Amino acid sequence: MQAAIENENEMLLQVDDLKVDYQMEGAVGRAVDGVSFALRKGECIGLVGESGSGKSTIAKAILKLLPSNGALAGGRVILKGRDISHFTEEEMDAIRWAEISLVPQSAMNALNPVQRISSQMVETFLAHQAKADSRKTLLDKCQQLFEMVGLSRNRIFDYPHQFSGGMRQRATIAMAIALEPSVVIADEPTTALDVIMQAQIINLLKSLSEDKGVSIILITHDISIVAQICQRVGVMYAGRLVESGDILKVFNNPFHPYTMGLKAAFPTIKELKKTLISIPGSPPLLTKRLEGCCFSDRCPFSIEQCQRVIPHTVTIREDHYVACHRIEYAERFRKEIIDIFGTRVRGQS
Amino acid sequence: MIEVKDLQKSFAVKETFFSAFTSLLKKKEKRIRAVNGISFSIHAGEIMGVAGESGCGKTTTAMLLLGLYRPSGGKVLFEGMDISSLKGTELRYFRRKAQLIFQDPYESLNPRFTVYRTIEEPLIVNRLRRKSERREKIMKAMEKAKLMPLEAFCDKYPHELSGGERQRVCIARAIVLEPVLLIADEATSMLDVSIRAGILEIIKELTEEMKMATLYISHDMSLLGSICDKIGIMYAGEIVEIGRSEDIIQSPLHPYTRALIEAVPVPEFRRAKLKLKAIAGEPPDLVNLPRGCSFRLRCERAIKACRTSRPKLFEVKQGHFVACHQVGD
Repeated sequence: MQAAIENENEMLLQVDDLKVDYQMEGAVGRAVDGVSFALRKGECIGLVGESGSGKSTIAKAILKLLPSNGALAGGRVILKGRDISHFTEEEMDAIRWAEISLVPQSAMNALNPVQRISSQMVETFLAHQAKADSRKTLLDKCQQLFEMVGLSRNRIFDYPHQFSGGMRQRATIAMAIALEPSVVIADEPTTALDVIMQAQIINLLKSLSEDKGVSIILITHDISIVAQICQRVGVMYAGRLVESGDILKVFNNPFHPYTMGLKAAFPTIKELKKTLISIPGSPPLLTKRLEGCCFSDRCPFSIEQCQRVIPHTVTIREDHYVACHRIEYAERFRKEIIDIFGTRVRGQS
Repeated sequence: MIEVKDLQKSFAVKETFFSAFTSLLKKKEKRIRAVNGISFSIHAGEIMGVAGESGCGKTTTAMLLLGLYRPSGGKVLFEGMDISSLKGTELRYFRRKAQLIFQDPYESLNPRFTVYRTIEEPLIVNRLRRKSERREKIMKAMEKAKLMPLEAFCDKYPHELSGGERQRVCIARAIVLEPVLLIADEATSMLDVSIRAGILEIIKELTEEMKMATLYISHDMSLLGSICDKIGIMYAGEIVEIGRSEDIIQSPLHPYTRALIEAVPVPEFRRAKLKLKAIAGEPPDLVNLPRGCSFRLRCERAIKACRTSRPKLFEVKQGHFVACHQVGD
């Protein structure tokens, strides 16, 4: 996606050739392998992929919150023109929450169970801003945030256990936007919620990006959520970005067989008889050194070259980038993949 | 075939000293009414889906069907027998014939058992002594669950398997005793999307082939729509609508069913994003259910009748039942 960076000013966050390694019982596993993307102001970008594809690791690497066995092995993270990938802990402290905030995966565990939500939120302000504001003003600010995310003002004095899952997720979102950061990273924000709560949270994130101009990196495995919120998308597989760009271009005309597969694997309520596909096999082990394309083991269209040579990311057209050796056959593959992997699951005849 | 008649289950609320005192004064015991009088039947070779928000009683229903909870009212008829009255041989027979697939294939396999040993376990428990006979059954189950090639899987341990493979081991374990009733509680929600359809296909195929009655629990309406023959929608422990999948999804009648369907994000890509319809509020407190319709507090169309009387399920058209005052009359 590097080619998309024409206007530097517009770019809020650039991730450039990011590599992350994990130490795993003697071996080194590369969880993120040369991922590049850029986030524009007010834009919402989705990172989709299966579990273990490195989506969450990217979030942690951006915020420098990698676990102790993980380390940045290369690449840069540029926030508003500054490379933050070499920042110290103190320098990062100033950036986290104030510039980039995180809505964590499980809201259940993200809140301190023995503190009232009010004091947890006020703490966020106190940790960053001059302590000049009185507690009362801060509390009032927090209550405004609560209203913004659709919670009632007086519930702020509750403990987390008094909230339902959806309410907790709202509270973490309120905290994430408290210091008006320019980037919010939402890591699987709806995974633990049921459909109705999920719809409420999706609408909330959408209004944050549309009305408040917050830029969002949305990490999810669900392309239908991406379809609801994002303008651009990056499809990840085994630590690599296999396809990325404008959401309409990527999903309406996918060029990477994995993107085609992902799209065809989703049931849709609009079309019960849609033939769903299932791609046999599983992603390669992190510790395996990949000679060729990361998807070649599962790809039905893989040829000898795919096993041997890592495909470069090429530009298909404006804002559409793919890493595949066989892009010229994409149109044929789109049809064939359904015949090859289609299952019998398809509503009632 | 399995039949459920006016099934109810309530749990006593753990009381603190103070609340025990007040409820003593009111002379009314506090109970969580998890399942509140539901009836349905699943025929052999049929998949019924149950949908609803978390806490609506889906999993409690599964537990009741398996005889793991004793109903507080109503009954579950299994091949004509009331399962709560079963004893001895009959109970053992029922236990063999009713099986469950869990949500999390990472948690539901013994890490120290090989695949072969895992699938053998139910046979050993049920005293199938002849080794050769066990072997034959295990191989057949593995084949049905598409754990192929057989030799490659037999000696593997769970940690060597992917999520999809683990779930297929769970399926093989569930079907090795040739069950009549199979319950899958969110069996694919922990799996990666690219392999989900494969697991659904196995469940669908086996249901037809082995003439099982399958209950599939999920809150994902698009998934249920794609594999189930019929769907029941649960709200606060009741079935508010039930019917053939196409009827439920294409012409839902109950406002709650509509809300569930409208809340589902659709993988359609467009520039101008549509807002999802998400009803506000949360399900009612199961200890103090509101009088009248339990959905009325979140229902836009609630009328006076909804406040006073609880709507009963009635047949709108053949095989399509709904419990709502606003529908029909």
